[in-house]
Amino acid sequence: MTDPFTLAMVLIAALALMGQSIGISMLVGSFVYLMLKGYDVSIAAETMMQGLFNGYTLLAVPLFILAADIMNIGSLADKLLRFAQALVGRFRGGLGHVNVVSSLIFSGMSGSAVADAVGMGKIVITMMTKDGKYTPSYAAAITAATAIVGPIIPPSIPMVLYALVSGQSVGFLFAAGILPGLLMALLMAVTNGVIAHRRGFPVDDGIPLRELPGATWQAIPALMLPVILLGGIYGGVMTPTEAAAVAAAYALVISVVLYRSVSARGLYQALLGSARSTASVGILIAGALAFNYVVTRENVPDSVAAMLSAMDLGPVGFLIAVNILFLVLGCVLEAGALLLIVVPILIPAAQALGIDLVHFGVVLVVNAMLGLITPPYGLLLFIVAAITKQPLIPIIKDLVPFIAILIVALMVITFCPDFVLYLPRLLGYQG
Amino acid sequence: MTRFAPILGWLQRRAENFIALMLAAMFLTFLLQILFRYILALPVTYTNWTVEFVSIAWLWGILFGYAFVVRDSDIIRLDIVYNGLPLGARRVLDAVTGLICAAILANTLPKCWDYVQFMRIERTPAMRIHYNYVFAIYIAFAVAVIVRSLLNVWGAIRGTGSRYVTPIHPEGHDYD
Amino acid sequence: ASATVELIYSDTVSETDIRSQLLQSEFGDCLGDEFTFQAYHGATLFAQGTELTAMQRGNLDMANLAIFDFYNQVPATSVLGLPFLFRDYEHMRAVYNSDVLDELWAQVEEATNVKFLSFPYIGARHLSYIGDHRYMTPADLAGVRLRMPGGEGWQFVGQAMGASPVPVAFTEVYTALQTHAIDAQDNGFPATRSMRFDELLTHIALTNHLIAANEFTMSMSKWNSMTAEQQERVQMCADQFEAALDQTTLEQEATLQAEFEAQGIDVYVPDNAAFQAHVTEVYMNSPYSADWPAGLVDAIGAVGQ
Ligand code: NA
Ligand code: NA
Repeated sequence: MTDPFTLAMVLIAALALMGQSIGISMLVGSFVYLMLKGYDVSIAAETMMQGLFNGYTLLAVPLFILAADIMNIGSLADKLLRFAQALVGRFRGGLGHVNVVSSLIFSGMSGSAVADAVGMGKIVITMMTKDGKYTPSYAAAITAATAIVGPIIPPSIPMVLYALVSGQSVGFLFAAGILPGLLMALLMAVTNGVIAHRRGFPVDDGIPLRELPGATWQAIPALMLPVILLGGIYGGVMTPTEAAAVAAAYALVISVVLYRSVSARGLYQALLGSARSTASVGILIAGALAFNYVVTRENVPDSVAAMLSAMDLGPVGFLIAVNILFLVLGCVLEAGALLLIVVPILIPAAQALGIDLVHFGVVLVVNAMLGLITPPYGLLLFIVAAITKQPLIPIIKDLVPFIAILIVALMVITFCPDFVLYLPRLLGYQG
Repeated sequence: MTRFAPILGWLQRRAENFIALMLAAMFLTFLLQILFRYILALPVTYTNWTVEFVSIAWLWGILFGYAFVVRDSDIIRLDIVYNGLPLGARRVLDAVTGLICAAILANTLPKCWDYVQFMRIERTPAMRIHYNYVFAIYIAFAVAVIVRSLLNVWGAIRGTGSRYVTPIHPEGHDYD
Repeated sequence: ASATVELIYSDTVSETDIRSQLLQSEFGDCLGDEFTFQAYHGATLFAQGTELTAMQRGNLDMANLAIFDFYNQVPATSVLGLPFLFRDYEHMRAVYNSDVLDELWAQVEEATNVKFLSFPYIGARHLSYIGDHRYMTPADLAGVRLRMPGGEGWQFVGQAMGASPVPVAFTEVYTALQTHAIDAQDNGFPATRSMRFDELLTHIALTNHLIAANEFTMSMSKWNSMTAEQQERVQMCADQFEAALDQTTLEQEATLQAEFEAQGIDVYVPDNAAFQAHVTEVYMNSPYSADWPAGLVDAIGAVGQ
């Protein structure tokens, strides 16, 4: 880690803490690194643009934002909300549970936590905050926290990347993710319940149970949406990115034809608002792409991982050190790059310590996902801040209990390999 | 500055039209892709432009949108420290960080211009567009961010920036 | 003054892949004390398809490129992406060792400022799929959703084979097969194993449609900055890398085929003459063949006959 790199890191941290745009801070820091090293400074612009241009899976982001905006201006979100209220409204924190469950259902959508968070996440946030029962920061926090379950429950892009570098079976890795993902979801639901009681989130008594059939009937077109998407993706009719477009189209058609609730002006505002949110989130991804080059060129993950492998810690110490390493490196690298660069160095050490590699993969993916919501730099954290237009501090405050319970889950996952490997073994895994 | 306000306002609305149109085009292109590929089962030569088009719209949407449409109040910041400071200190920080960003983006602009021009030798796979056109958006983006940074520095020095007068843009919660 | 020559290398192969290990042991270690060889794998430094321009701009010294990477700058190179151009591995190697391609390489070096060092064999591509019967001819592939890498050149290969090509990123092929978004893919045996596609596949048709070699290259400015002895050293190590990768790939292909069969995958030889006839016709009627040097396809075919 040479001086130009340290300087660039300090500059980025300073600019960001002094209130500059985080995306621009990372781009500027990357430029400064290249200048000081005497490299071609245009590499930062190149990496940023090539990365965006080739980031096909992220194309689902603007379309999911649009789908959510259309569901909102049409009355789909209202009908869904009324249904959810009739179903779980009498329970404290009911919509929080809806948020957890929707993350589980949609975990298969894109295999990418970022796309999933803005997908159903934005719709559920709208429902939670519409009548002022939940604070926007709490809605944002629980959405970010539950979204990370997405890539732990299959399908999962990070697991495929891990399989590629570790030589493990994708099928067994996918199976190994299921119980940990369910455990995390369960613990978050419990946390939501406890917080709802402690903070006294109001309950609905306005909608009696006998109105449930009516509310359900009204919500059927909206409830069909997940059925269509999941059926389409698993039936091989469309890719997850295309599914985002279908979701937006479906919401539009239902709103126009069935509920007659969309004006041309409303649609324009939805398009503009979605495009604007996309640009504010996108610049963060762009800045991170530019800075990824710097971190890779400096071999930072290499040297840190090599140091860790050489420390001779024993299985427990090694796994804890890996947990910490991932949480720290998650601040400067996106999850995919992290897995591709660090995992090859850690695998031999893990093997030597007798750690099962499928189990290790789940531990690493859970870690990489946790890094998306832990301050100071967590992409999901920023995204929910952008789509709720809330400052970060209250969101982070509301996230603390969820992060705490997720760390408990991480410990269970880390130290109970039998729990993680239960399903793969049922399917014939010999490990 | 005020006599330019109508023109700037007009340009602002056209920029908004542009990115809204871009997202609409992206959306329709995806629907066309599904129609062509799965419903009409056309060969891929009819559909491989779709992926490329939406990729360009995504790149342009982000860089153009950030430069010309995203308001200062929409920009994602780590405001943990900043918000706790008094107004005077915030003005100083804004002037300093704005100058640093403008200076570095301006200083690196010629080399980036050179890269964009260089990419003329490569073409996109499906639509065969020269990459210098695809990547030209960077130049507009960088120039706009430089100008906006300098305007913010000016606003910070005079104490008239939007972040000191109205903390949240009046339209900030229109379509959440 | 530093005496060592720094060589920055980037590719898209995973760091744990046997190819990356051979690159280090046969090329990197072979270079000796006069060189510092720094390899970045998994497309972590430069994205796939951007290595050529990075070398031309002096930001990268070496890369292992695919022939389609040259298409934009020298359209004639697409001739080497013609399926069934090579009969088998021996034919491919004989062609690269002969002088048939010298004129083409000279043209590419001149146009791109990139030095060609060697052409390591990375394996033959075969048609593998999830299905319930054998596909013997191009007609059997009608409507089969065959994953091909993104990019027009690759997609056209799938189309010429008679299938409906679908562009899917390499890392997403497994999930695409699992969710039946695609039916087939055409990676060679080593990639099919390392990406675990064999967990899902039911059939492999030994089409051998592309006998693929990489272009192991160095930027011309870096090459020219070295002394004659250093150039000789680099060339020697590049040849050694080629020989080692050839041997390893051939061994892997033989072992993996036996393993796939033992796993219950139906591995069979389709009517390759029918595929070749169809592919040749499609290419000859396409804009690609217009760029090809006159008589080169025949000259390649004549090698070793
Ligand atoms: Na998932
Ligand atoms: Na959620």
